[in-house]
Amino acid sequence: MKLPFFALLKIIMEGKSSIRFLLGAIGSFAFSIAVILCTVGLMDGFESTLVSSLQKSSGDLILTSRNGFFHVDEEFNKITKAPEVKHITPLTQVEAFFIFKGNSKGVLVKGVEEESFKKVTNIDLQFNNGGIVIGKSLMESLGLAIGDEVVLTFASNSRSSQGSPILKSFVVSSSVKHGVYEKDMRYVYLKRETLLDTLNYNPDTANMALIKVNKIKKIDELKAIAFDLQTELPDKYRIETFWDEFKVLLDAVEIEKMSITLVLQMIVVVAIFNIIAFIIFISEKKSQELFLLRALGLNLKTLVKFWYQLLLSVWLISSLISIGLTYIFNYLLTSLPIFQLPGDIYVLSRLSIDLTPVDFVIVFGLALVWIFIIGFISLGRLKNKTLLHGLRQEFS
Amino acid sequence: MSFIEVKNVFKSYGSTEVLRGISFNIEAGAQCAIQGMSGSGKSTLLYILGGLDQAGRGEVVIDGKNISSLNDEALAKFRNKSVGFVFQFHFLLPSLNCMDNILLPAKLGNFPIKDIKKRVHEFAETLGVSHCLNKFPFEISGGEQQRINIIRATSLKPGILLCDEPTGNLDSKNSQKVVELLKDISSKLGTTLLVVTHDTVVANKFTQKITIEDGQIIS
Repeated sequence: MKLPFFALLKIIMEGKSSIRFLLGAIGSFAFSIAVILCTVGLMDGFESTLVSSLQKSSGDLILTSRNGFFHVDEEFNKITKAPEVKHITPLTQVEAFFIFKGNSKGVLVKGVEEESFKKVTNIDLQFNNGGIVIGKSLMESLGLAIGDEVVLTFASNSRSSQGSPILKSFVVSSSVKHGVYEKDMRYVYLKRETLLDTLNYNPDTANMALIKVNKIKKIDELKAIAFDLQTELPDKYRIETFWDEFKVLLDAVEIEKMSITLVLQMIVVVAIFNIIAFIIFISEKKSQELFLLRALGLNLKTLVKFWYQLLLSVWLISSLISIGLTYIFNYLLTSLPIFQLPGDIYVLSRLSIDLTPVDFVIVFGLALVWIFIIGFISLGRLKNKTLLHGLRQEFS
Repeated sequence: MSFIEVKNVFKSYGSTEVLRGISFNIEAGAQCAIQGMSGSGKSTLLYILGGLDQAGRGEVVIDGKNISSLNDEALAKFRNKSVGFVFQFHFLLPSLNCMDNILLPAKLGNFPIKDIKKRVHEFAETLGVSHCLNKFPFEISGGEQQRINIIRATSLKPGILLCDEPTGNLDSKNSQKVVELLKDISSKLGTTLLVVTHDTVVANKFTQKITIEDGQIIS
């Protein structure tokens, strides 16, 4: 006993009110799914943009010493011979105050060796005549221009100076953009030898090194490489991946993403109310037709199949529309100035939606589960009413 | 063995007993009226015979098949192939034209539509409703709707034609016409005709009558 899906649909969807109701239900359901997709996608986008921006200025791995400072000596140079290591650059990093026209800011001063630093990070620093290179946001916030003279104030480690700071003037040679607001606002670069000389440190002193590894397929492979290197190196060295510095933030984003996905299910539930209303509307308004078809020979199995096909179609169409809405939102997000985020709040100035197949499966899967729960309950209403009861009630 | 055998059928809705031990036999091709007052249980009996409802106790055997033991799928098949229903209200779907309404049972049962259409045109010609076939139910009169309903019920040449107050909405002149029409069609098709009515005039048109009162056969 079969009646084609579309023939049955034509009977059930007869009348403008039914079609409008169905379109409204599909629209709201699609919008709800799109909201969840956009939110999850934004968080994924935040995470991936942050990770790639971090990698730009940090290389792949970060080497530090458990003793704080270490010497760039024979032992250190052995690291470069490790098979995983492609390039390595030593850094001397200290905190300082940046002073310009009476304004001061706490900064992280990085003494680098330009050539090896460029090989590891792809950042080309131009120290003209012993000048410094500063983050773009720092430059803008203090209204600095290239050629301006600024003062860096370092803490002194000399007993004779009784704790008084070391002040030294530098000329701003250029600015650098890392893609991470926090770095653009805090990082100041100068030649390592200049920094060591200013602080009166030994010429081979460093407290950090950045490592570029040989080609990897996936970023997660870095964890294994870091582990391998750690076992090969003397105990005093510590190897971390470039994102470990922001690990807490990235972990928080991951947890937040899962929590928000679950919380946003409430939006789907709200949209489900529209589907429920539609199902009740159809089952009440069209019960005459349904009971008559049953009386004429439509079996319950075919009716149940049609019911689920209808719900599956609603879900499928809503899901497809939601993908479209998500792409539209992503386009607006990446192209309209109104959607530019304040970098000082969100660390990154512009985000895009980045969705993985897993995200789609989770969001669409949960929506499907909801719609089938509702379909099952509503179908129970029809099943529980006997044919005779239904006919008498509907046609009396 | 009779074509319809009803054996000690009981039916209750909650605590209300609607049918109380109904038993009778009807031969194939017979034309019978089931008469009774409103609430006597006659429609319930008709729907049990048509597979729209199940008896609480007892057996209903039609053409050697015990329909009380059939599952939903088999009952749906039975309703589609073996039973034609003519209801008091014509029950035509407003979204379909008359031809599509008539063809519903054929489509549900996967019958060859071409052959059925040919038969429908012949029936429509006989009943004088050929001009209605491409019209929607709201475009034709009540009498024409009832005749379209009768064509739908007989389009698959069912073994039994069950009519629930088929003249309930008609005046006496049209009632007489419809009863004659039903008797004539069932004679031509060799279909067993059962008509439920509260109207004594309609019931008197049939030689075989069953009178029900308070869920029991009294004559």
